[in-house]
Amino acid sequence: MEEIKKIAKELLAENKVQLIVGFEKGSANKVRPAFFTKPEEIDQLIYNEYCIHNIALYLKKDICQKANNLAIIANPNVVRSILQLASENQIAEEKIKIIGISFEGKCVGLLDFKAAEEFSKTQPKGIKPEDKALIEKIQAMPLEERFNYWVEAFSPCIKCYACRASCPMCYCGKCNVETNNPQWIPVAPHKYGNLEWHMMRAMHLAGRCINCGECNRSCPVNIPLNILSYMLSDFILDEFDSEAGMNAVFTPALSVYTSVDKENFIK
Amino acid sequence: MSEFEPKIVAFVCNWCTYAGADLTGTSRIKYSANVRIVRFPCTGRIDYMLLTKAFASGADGIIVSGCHPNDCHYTSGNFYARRRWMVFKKICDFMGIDTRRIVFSWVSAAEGGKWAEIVNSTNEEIKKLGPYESYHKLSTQDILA
Repeated sequence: MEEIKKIAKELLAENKVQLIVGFEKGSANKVRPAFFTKPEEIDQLIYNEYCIHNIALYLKKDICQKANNLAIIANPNVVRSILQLASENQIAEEKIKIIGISFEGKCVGLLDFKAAEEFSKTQPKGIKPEDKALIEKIQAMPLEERFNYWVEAFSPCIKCYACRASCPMCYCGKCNVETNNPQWIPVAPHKYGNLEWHMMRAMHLAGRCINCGECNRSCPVNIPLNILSYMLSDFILDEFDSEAGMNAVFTPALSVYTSVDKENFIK
Repeated sequence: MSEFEPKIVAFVCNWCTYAGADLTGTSRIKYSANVRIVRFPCTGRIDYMLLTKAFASGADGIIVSGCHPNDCHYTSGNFYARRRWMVFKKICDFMGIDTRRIVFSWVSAAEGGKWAEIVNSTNEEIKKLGPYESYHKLSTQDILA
């Protein structure tokens, strides 16, 4: 942590960046995202095992958009998000300095995009064994049971859109769910609308999700949302050999095609 | 009681399958009247949400059809669509939506006969499966239920 602080302090003191996105102490044992603009503020910067949130989210918010250059305390999930955002032309390499931190909490220093790609590849994937087990359990269910499982799983959803708000890849200025002419997704949080909303979200993230699991963590009613994206990421990796968050120059699987894509399901 | 007549919605592209279906008609080939054709500029334009909307509005089966690969009027729309369908089919399957009710096909403007076959075989298949009650029930349920 001292190393992170040292790098952060230097960056601000030498005027290399205007803003540093990191964490500070929150209430109780919790941590909260924080924005540092002066070297003396860096004393409050912390990094510990609770700093798991994907703060790459803030890169698309006003505070970061207005800064000419910034640095971010980046665990592998954040690094992958940055690479994916960069590939979608949402952030420029010259604007951002990445202070890389491995999943074990080891600081790897400042990363440019090239180094970030290498770093991203060496770090383990976000899929946890229990998520894998749940995916397999659902896949083994008969059709009707699978349908009922999801209808029930989505039934507590209150459409708070925390999953969307916490997702660094959900940066559209106007989300499909707010489109009301035509009304794609019913506004009321009933079972049918919930199913369509989560299906749409998973499809929009297909091939772009970096599997940080933030949607799952932010969900107030604990819907296992992330496994939808995990399942699709797995499928897309198998089928198209395409993985989001690994390269700064990258086209998501659904935005490209090859002439030899499978079509055994097409009559 | 009369036999169950499925409602089938066909999302077709303007340049191949729609023209193909036209040919079926002008060739006087008889085929099942259960299909309601919706014309799109290209298969690449067919949003997957339209498919779920069709089910929600009472469709029992869906046909999605367009130009054969390399025949797309816009060069590559059907290639993008093919990938999207693969992923969409996967997530439908995972979420327990009956993918036997969604038929994908390539029908060119010269394949009037094939169009009739696709519609008839889909109709038979859906008749066997019966109405898509679980999805209809979900989409028409009382909001407070």
